[in-house]
Amino acid sequence: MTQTPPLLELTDIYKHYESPGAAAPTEVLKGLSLRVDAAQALAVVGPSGSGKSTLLNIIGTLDRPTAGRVMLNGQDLRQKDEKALAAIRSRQIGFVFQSHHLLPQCTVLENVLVPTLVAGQVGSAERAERLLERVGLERRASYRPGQLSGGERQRVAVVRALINAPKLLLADEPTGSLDEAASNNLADLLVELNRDESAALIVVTHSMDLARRMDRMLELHDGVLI
Amino acid sequence: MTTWRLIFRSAGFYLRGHLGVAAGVAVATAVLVGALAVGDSIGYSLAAVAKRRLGKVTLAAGTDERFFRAELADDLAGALGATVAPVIRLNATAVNPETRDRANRIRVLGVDERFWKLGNADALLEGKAPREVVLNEPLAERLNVRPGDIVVLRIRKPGLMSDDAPMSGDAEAEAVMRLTVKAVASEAQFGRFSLRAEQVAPMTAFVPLEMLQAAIGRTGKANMLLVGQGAKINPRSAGAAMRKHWKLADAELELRELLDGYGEFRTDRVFIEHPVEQAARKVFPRAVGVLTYFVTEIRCGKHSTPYSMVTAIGPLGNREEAQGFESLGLGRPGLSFDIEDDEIVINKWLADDLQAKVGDEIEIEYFVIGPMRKLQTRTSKFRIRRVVPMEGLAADRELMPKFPGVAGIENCKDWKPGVHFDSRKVRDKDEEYWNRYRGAPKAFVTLRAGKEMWSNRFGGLTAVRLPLGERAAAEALRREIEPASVGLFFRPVRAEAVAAGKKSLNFGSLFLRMSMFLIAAAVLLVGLLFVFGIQQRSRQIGTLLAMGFRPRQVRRMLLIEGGAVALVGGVIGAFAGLLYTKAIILGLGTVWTGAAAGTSTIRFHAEPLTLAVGGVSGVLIALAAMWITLRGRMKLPARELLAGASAPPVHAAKKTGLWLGPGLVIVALIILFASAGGDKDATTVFFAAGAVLLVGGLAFIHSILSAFSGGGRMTFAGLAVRNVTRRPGRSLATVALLACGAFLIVAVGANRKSPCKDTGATSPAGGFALYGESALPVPGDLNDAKEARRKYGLTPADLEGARFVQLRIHDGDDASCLNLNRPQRPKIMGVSPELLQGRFTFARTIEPTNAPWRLLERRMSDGAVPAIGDHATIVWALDKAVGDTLDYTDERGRTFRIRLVGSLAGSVLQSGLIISERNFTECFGSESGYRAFLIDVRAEKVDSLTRTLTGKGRLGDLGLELTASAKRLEAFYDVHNTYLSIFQALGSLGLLLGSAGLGVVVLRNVLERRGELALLRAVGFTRPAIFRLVLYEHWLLLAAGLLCGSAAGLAAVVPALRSAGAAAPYLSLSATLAAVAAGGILWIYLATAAAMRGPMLAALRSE
Repeated sequence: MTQTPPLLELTDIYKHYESPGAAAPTEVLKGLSLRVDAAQALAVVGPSGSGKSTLLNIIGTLDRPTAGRVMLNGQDLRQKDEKALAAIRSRQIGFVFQSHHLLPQCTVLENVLVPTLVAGQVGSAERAERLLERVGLERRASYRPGQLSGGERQRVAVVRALINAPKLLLADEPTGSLDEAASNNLADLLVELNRDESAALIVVTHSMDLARRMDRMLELHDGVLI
Repeated sequence: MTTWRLIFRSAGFYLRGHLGVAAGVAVATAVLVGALAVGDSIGYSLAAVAKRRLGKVTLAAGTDERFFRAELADDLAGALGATVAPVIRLNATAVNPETRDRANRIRVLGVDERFWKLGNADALLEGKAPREVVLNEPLAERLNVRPGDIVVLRIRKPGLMSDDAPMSGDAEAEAVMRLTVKAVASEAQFGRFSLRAEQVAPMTAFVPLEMLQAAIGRTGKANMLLVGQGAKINPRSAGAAMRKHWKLADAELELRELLDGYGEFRTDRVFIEHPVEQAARKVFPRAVGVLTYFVTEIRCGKHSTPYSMVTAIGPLGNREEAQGFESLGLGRPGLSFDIEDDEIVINKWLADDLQAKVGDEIEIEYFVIGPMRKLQTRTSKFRIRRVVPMEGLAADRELMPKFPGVAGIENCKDWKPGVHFDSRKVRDKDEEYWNRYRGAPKAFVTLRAGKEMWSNRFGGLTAVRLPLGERAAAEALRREIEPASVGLFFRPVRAEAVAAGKKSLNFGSLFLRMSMFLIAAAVLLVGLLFVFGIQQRSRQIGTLLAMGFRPRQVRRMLLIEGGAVALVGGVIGAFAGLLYTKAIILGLGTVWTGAAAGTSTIRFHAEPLTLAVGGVSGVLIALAAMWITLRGRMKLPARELLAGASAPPVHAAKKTGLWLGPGLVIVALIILFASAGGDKDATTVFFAAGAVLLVGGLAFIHSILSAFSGGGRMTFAGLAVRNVTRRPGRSLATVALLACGAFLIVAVGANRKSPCKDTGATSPAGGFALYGESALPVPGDLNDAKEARRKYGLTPADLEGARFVQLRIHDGDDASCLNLNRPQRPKIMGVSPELLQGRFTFARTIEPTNAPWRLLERRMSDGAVPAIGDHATIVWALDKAVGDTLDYTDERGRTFRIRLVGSLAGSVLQSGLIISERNFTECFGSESGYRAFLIDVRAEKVDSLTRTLTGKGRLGDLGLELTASAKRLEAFYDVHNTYLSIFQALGSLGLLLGSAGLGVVVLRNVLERRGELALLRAVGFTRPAIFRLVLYEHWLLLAAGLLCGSAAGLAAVVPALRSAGAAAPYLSLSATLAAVAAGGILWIYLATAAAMRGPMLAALRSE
């Protein structure tokens, strides 16, 4: 029986940052390996400064590892230049940040559609409206971000991340700036979307409640996942 | 959703932030458009002046000195199919006899109705109007007269011969006319007519042509032809028409019939001009040349005969060709050619008078004209070859030309030959000879010997005799003579006027250069405001990058957004620029009158293209600033942008960076010390050194900013320094803006000039306390006490302690900085170089020399005439450099080349080019006398001498106008200083923007750090302490900028400070810099106060 290739595979990932002066570099990731299958939901937890966000940035092609291999959908990301990485981010990865990072000058619908300007998806508007309806914001489509609550903004950010139907959804402390009720709502939404949209989900969080709702939970400790 | 929609949304959302950017672009564009539109306005105004001063006149021919038939105008008009007006143009002075108001150096024009036709004006005077004159507005204003008033015109009466020619006589050279003012001609009535490309209206009196002809004794003559417009009117076609229609009479030549069918060419000018002689030699190789001269004495042993004519005669061609002549008697008993050059043939009367015989030695004494029209006595010795009887050629009274003051005079004792003449020497027998034989020469020498003695620049013959039919001979000679060689050629005055206006001092470019700092300040402000706006949106940019946008795409979107803002700013700025232009023109007409030479003729005019070019340039420059600032931002990775980073991290300065600043400073200092040895030609070097010092200083500051960012001891001051270095780019931009402003203000301010201090020989005045020009030429040497008394009624006491250097003038366009036009034919002055040796200071010479004035005597390999001019004249007015050449046309229509061999540093001799007197008389032989005067006199005598020379004696009547050199220099420096004022005013506006930029930077810095400052407050810093911290760090930037710029500026102007006439306004400079510093401090204070308003700890919570 042949094994299904993973959607994402990280092998022996190292990452260090130069320190000011003559101090030794700061080692953040130390030979980390990870395998995530399609449509799988994974939570990464760990203390502050353990390198969770660094890991997520490497997975999301916003940063490169010092050493190690990142394979996404069968492609070795080491071989890719910035232009190719930008294309991968556009078509295969969706981001949800702790802060929603919505464009204040655009409406909700326009914010959701901004990623399509790069990907050039056809029928994006219908998909955007469907997704907004899915997250209960269909009536807010013409609102500006400033007119939404924190939870609503974060839901818009999730819809924006999914607009190009990515295979991998990355969420960095998505509930970090929300109250408990809004956090629960968002957690529900992420799990449902993971299931409905068949997009693998990696959530970096301090929230054990959120983490427990994922298929897997790993802890980043001393530069490796355990 | 489209990219354009996103851009549109962003532009609208960040409108408030964009307003600042748009305002900056608008300022930059307005300044650009304004500068260019000022150029348009001046070009338009000069073209309008040219149109008013020339009317329909397209071509002009003639000089003051040469007269031709007025009928020539009719002949040419028929041939050219255009109006051709004959005019007499002369220099004159005018007086209002009632008020004694006086105008020296005016032009009198004798005109008829054709002239007014050329000016599209109604004839204000009829050709034969008796005793009436029309004045133009400037002259009427000067004389304070109205129609019906009386004016007295004193007009130079042109002689038949040049005043400089030997035997030109001592006859009255002026015509005085008392006339009634009939009208005052406005500019629309052609009152501004002038052939000179100058924007200042001349003073002109118009009189009926026939009346002027009669007054100066030139009936039926004119000395200028003006040709109107026509389809085929150009110098070529007009030249062809001239060649066809001119007559020998137009060159003042006549062919007289002698006995037995022989003819003789002669001229009222006495001496046949060299080109005519050459033509005659070519056409009539067998003709005989005659040169008759007035000698003061003929001596043989103890005997002498006074005041006689001696004729040199011989074949015009070579001897062989003339062999056919058996004698020079031309059909009458006479002389044969067989004498040698040292032999003489005398007539019987002289032989008897001197008791001389064949073989005896005879000495003849005569005058020739030396420099300054000084009469020089010469003698020549000859051996008597033959004594001839008083018949035939030996008694031919026609051999004497019409010497003024001799020919036609009844008694010898009444002669006024123009040379020293003692009537007591005239004996009865001399009177008898005169009564019987008139001017029949008493002796004959060979033509070669005669030419050696008496040939001069006016000619080498007094007659050409030939055995030909009259009409055929005249036509043959006429065909051979190129009319231009006798002064009959056309100048394309309209084309010259267009060129003078088009190539005029490019005010657009000048203002653009002067506005450069203001534009730079505005652009820097645009960059700062734009980048601050972008920094606010760094998370947004990070989000877009995380979504898969490429940096290029994001940059392009931001640039399009910025471009839209810039476009709005550009459009507003383009229209605001028109208002700015009007303000500048208003300034040029009021407070900055010096820059446009006191003229109020500048009218607003802006070409649509200028608006477009200025607007587009402003937008493009702003876009370039945005692009440059965006480049740095887009280098940040998305994750850092998402984290809120807005500027690249500061790295410690690289070694090269650390060394670059001090290295450049050292290079600048080496240049300064190396050039400090008195080389007065080092202005550019010093300015370059100053600029290097500025760049070095800025690089050094940048190094320090980078070097201190790494750490150091933690003190309050250290914290301030650390904060300054937090954004080195931003800090450096602020320092650079202030430093450049301070540099320019110091460098420009220190270049101010004042003429009052140095009056020594090497000063701009050349040691001459007075400079003067006269309307009419002064032929003699004013340093010669006898001549001064005899001719001008000036006693030695009047002239005590005064030394004159006299210069000849060939009128042309004013080439001083007072003329806005580009001089097409600059005024030429001729002087004996030795008289100016050691005078003035040279800015540059074509080669190193201790005697730069001697360069004027240099023979150039290409035949060019060496010339010296004022440095400003050469560089600004002529757009040339030392070593360059310019083409000029001499009075015979021949183009010759003038090479600039030296330039004088800021001298009183602006306005023209100076060549040697020898070259001057070769090029402009018919120009007589001296019309410019440099007078070396003690300061305390200046006023009394001025009064004496202009009020007493005859010099005042010659239209002599004297100006104290200091005052003349002041007028020139006024232009220079006004430009500096404009530059400083624009620079100060730039600094104002710069200091506003500083305020923006402070505001931005503090707002950006509100959380950080709140933290300081939380850990125990008092509010005043934090306030102080912020003030210190920005004052540091202010001080660094001003110090760096001022030091570099001072270094750049060392030569200007050392130069003669330097008058650096230290006080006002210091005050300006202090004001800038105070303004900066105020901005910083206000910005800090504004940014720190409100509860700071709230910022900490939001952090």
